[in-house]
Amino acid sequence: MAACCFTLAAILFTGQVWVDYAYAGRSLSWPRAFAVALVDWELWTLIAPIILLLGARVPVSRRRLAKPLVVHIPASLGIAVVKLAAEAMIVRAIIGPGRVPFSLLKIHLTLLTYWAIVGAVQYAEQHRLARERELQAARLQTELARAQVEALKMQIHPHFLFNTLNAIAGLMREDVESADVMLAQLGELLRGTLQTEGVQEVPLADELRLLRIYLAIQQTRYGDRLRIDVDLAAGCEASLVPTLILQPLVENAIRHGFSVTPGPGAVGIRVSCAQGTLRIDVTDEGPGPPQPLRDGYGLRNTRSRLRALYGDGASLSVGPDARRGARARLELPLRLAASS
Amino acid sequence: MSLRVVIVDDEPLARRRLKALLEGEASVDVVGESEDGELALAVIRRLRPDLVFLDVQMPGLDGFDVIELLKPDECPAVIFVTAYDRYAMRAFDVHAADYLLKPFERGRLRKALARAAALAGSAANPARLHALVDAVRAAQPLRRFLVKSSGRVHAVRVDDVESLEAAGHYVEIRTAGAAHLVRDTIAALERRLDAARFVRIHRSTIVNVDKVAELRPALHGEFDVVLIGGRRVRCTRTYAAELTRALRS
Repeated sequence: MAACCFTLAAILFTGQVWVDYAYAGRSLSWPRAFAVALVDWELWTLIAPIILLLGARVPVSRRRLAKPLVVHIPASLGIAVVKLAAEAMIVRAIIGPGRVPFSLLKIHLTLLTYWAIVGAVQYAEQHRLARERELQAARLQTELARAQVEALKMQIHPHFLFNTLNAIAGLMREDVESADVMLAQLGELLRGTLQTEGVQEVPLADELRLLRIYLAIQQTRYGDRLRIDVDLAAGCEASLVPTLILQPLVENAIRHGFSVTPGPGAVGIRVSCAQGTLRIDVTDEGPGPPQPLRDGYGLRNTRSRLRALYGDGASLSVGPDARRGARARLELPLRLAASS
Repeated sequence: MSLRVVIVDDEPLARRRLKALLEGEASVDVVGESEDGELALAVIRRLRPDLVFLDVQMPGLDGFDVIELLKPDECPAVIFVTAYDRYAMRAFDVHAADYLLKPFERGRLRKALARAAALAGSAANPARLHALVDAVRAAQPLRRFLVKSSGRVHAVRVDDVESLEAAGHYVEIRTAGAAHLVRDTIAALERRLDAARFVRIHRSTIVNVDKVAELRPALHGEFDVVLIGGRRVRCTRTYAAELTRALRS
């Protein structure tokens, strides 16, 4: 392909070569003139890949100019000299001994060609990078949207919803006031999950408010059997957390920890913030996670949401708790909501 | 003659609601309640009710475990109660079992009661219930084993099992800290376990690939399989390829 282009260029330049030589006092036959032009351009076929490689390896960037210049200035001079020397030797072989016109003066043209190729490489590379960045951003955006929709779907587990409705039906017969409260709580929980659509982060205080409603409902369902310990360190409430991130973790603790173990049990939520990290531990007193843990769908989804929002800045780990049961530990970069 | 009924549910409000509804029925007498599967077994054996309202999801033993552990002559008529369980609901329909979806209304409860009253005491009832439990179990990979220790029955999670080894008419199920014998064959258990995780490594041994720490080549193309806890089991040549494939995936 490149050779083809250069051959075409050689045909176009044959006339110029003929004129150049005529001015220098040498008259060439047309085939010879073509041969001379051909040598000039076909040598580029050999040299161009080297320049392409060099251009890709050492890109010229505005911020760090020193290194590329140190590489490309000597390289362009070197290649120009070698190219012209080779050209002169071959041309001499074609047209016989005698003066070859412009051979040294052509150096500026050769240098120009070198830099034009480096420039073209640079442009193509920038273009490719920009496209890649766009693609990556679009991928992240899709991932985030998908993970959030999944988080919404998980929020109200059908098992939880129907059991809560059943508990309200039971409560209605014995304590109308409490049934009324529980119905309002369920309503608020449903509204809370519907309203967060499109919002990625909320202050921890908002997230905890929704979580407390969920916990109140669970407390009414299970009565004395369930103990809930919330330990919130001072000053953490303003830090930002992804919407609906906590409830799935607490729901896991209740489903896999508390509700599979006969007798009373506790679910603990411990929040602390220090050294730029917000840490939230959710513990239960169940049988503990299997070792090694195979991530369920919920954990995988939470992780991919964290990755889309914070890259490597956030983590979620699930392991055995120091005492017994399981502990889910969520760590997020500590960022405060703008006070309103 | 009134129907003697036991209510089994882990949520106190759900038990009280059902009890209140049943108290309005003339021919029903609620004789007992229980909040988990193990208590339910004891209550059913002691009171011999005609009918049990059985919650499917419960701590410890679930509703199906309770039926599995009851001998045919101990097995009352059952109305299953569940909030949401796709697997179970399909099986209930296939086996024409009586079930109620929470929250249910009185009309639905009366229909279920009428059918159960007709069934109570029928000789075919226990077999029908056990067939239902088998169908529910077969629909999904085994998640836990029921094992007896010191007179109690409890559940061992499949996730915690390291290996299963044939021992005469029994299979020894080994976890990190314990070994349990269940009356079954290694081939029957292999069919019910998740094949991606539980791999045959010997004529009489199945291993959980999640618990494998390393493979040490032994003589004649065999392997010593070193488990996370340090215990070793032998993998014979016939099964070596299968094991390495499962470990890679």
